[in-house]
Amino acid sequence: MDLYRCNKASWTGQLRPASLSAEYTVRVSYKWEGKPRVSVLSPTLHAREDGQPIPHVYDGPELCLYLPKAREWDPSMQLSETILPWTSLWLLYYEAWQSTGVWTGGGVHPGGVKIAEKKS
Amino acid sequence: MLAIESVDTQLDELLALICEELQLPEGKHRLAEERYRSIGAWLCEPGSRLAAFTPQIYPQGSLSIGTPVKPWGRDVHDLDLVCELLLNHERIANPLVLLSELEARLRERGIYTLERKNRCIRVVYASDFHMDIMSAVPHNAGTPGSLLVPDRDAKAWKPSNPKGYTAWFNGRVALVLPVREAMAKAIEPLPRPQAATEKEPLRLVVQLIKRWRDMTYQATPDYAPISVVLTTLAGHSYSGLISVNQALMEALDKIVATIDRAPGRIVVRNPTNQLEDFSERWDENPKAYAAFTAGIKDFQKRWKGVNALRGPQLNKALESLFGEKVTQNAVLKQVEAVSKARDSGLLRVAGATGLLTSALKSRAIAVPRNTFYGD
Repeated sequence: MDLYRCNKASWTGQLRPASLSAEYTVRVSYKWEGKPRVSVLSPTLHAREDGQPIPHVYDGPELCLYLPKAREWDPSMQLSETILPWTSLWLLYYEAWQSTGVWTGGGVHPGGVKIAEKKS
Repeated sequence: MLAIESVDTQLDELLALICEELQLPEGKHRLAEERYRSIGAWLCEPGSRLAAFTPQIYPQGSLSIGTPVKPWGRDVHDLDLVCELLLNHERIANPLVLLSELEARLRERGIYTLERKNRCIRVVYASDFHMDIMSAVPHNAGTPGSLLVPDRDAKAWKPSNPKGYTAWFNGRVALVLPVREAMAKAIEPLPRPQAATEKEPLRLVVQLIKRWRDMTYQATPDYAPISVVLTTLAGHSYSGLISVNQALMEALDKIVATIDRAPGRIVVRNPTNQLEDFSERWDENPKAYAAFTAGIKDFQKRWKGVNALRGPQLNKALESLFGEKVTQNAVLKQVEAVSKARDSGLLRVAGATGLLTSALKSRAIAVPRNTFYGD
């Protein structure tokens, strides 16, 4: 039995954050006590026509859904109550960013450069 | 409930937010009101040469029926007023004297820049908008509110009925009221105030069609169908639907059907004054009519298409119809409502589909605080 495979799980499903959004096929892979990795299988995520790269992704691209230092997520939490809702939210802001060039979901870049958050 | 929770409410809200972007902003509206009152007072006050004829000043056009659309390109917004004088038209040998008297009174103030138009005197301001003042007398033989208006090109009286038109249009707008009242009774009031969707659907439909017209006929303004024709066609087609998206589809379908049924060109008369043919310019300009029919059929096709799209493609289609900036601003406003819920800790997600919501449904999961990261 492959111990590696036993400790690894992945979930693939469809998310549509708003009624007028596209339907996204998303995969979350998770190694026990590792970090969950979230990627969008379809439709393909892409940069804007004006060249702006996709905000808040790692290489892959994989979605950056939480701040590691702030302990917003830890392995004791249910993926369905954290990673999945955050993925929906990310997709909502991604779509608005695709249309407008503005990311209004807030966030932080590595190095601590805080993105100006949309006033509430 | 968030508007994004259903296709209908999200699209309707997006369209209402687009229309909000098309309105005269608050400040300009107040300025318009000041200028309107100031001119009205000058025309009516005891020292005025018009005072003996009991002038009545009232608005006509888009401001009076709540369908203003901000100027596109070079056009400066114009505000339309009527100056109605109590005179018997049979006693007036030359109708155009009404225009010259109006002009003379305006000139007396010494502060206005004036232009002569076919049926009105235009007061030109340095910025923002013009005021087009139409001079008229009552037409007692006609329906209530009927006027006779001096027309320079025709060198004669032309019939009109702006008050009647306003009343007719508002009557069409009000078809939605029974549905609204029924819904208000059926739904408990929300704790927070209502959003952009206060405006009645027919008014939004007219704003959207006018905006489409401005975008489509930019390069060929001579072929652009005039606002009163579009407004009247929309008014006739409206049946009381509460969804602005569906009402727009209904309007386009009915207009195209009317065009296809008509033996020649369609005729769009003032519903309250059959003597007034709003569409008479098409007689001298068949190319304009052809451009109108081709355009409206294209709009119909594209609107059907919009309803089948999702995601950024949908927004792109709206941009091509109504403009990039207004659509993008509307998209951002709509997402802001979700962000507000998120910041207040009220955001939830439906487990099965990932649909974001603010409702406390049994299978809705609260969205915990998070900070997006990465490059």
